[in-house]
Amino acid sequence: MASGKEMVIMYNNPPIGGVAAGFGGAALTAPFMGWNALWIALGLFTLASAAVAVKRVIPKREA
Amino acid sequence: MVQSENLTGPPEIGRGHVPDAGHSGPAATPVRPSILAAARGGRRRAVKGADGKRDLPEVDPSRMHVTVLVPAHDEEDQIAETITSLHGQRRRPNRVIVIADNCTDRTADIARAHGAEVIETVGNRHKKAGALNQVLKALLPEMGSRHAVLVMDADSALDPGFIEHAVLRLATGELAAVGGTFTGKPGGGLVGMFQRNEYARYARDVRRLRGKALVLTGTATLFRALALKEVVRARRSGRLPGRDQVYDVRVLTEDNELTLALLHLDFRILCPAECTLTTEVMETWRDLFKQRLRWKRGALENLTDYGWTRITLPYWGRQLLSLIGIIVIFAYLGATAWSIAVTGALALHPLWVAVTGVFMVERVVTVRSRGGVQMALAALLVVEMIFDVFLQIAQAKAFWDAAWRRERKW
Repeated sequence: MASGKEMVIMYNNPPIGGVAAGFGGAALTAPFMGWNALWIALGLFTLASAAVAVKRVIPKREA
Repeated sequence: MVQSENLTGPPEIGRGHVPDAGHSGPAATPVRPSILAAARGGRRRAVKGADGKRDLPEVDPSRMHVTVLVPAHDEEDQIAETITSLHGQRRRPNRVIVIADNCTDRTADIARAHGAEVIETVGNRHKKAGALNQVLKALLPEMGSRHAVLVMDADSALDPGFIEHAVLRLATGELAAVGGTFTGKPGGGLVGMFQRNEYARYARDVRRLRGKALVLTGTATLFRALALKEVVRARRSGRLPGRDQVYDVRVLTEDNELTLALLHLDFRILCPAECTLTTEVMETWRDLFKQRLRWKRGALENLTDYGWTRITLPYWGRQLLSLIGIIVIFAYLGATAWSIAVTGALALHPLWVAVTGVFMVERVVTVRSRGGVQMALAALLVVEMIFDVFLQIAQAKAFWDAAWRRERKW
């Protein structure tokens, strides 16, 4: 029931798809751009998104 | 005559009959015992309401009276399939009403020909929400604890077990509403394909979260009538936004708003895996953009209406993530273009190549229900990225329009 932290919503689904698709390539450009604060932040966001991606592919019993 | 409306009252399994306001419909078919057992077995709490949420009276599922409302505006191409899907339910609804809202085509005639009652709206200027309010205003006073209202889109078709499973869930009294998860109908070419993949991933997410969802979508949701009546009372007394009607006609996403209303009244909701349907996809990029702009801006404005509450916290979190996502994706695109322009190539780093691999796997696995071709396309990343960037642009425009309070267009 809708009381936990993990919930999905069609109107405001998080940008997992965009991040997933985008950061596959964004990652490629990061070394070129150098390690300034922006790219560190983007890199961290990428890694966090990757962690979410891993969680999403782990087999789980579906209701 | 209406039975007790005590929202936390005792169960009333098998009690007296509630009149159907003078209407009759297809007879309700008995619920299969195995499904009834599955719905009850192991799910009931030892103490109801221990989570602080409200319970409704428990009812015998075989005695639950289901009224279906299908608001339709010029849906002559879809309405027959919608009604047929209702006739094909294992647990037939008691009453099917098509609300013909300012139709200029044969929607009403086709609906009647397929056995539905038709009610035509009078002077409605508030689209779907206004149409539903007109009919609910007449129906709800006659409804009691045994009654449920299924609101569904005229371009959607329920899978055969939808109502059967939804009734079983609602009858326990633990839930105020049961929503569906949907897949996309054929059509629409490339843009249709992207939406079907998106819907497949959404449905997968909901299944993996065992029905947890933040919105009861307008595609199809079965409500306990008592919960809807409580919403009206709460709006009337100022505990919820909007006028004293079920749906708030001021908003762009009335289903999202009604979900927030129910949650703020401490009701529980669920989108169980068994309650599935198919719905039409937008067939052009232009239509899709308009739809998503309405969805995104509507959701944002719903949150603004309700403010910062313990219920809206996860919704605001999603909005924040969306905003960050927009910044990220466009920073990436800009940087990629710059990189290519300056050096003529992209630098590769093993760590980020590995991360790319993770994303490829995620895209492929999450769209597995759509078959091998879609999995292969998803693996390319760049194909679906077109759709993702498109959605991000719609989201960005929604933020922008809401921030500057630009005129809303449906």
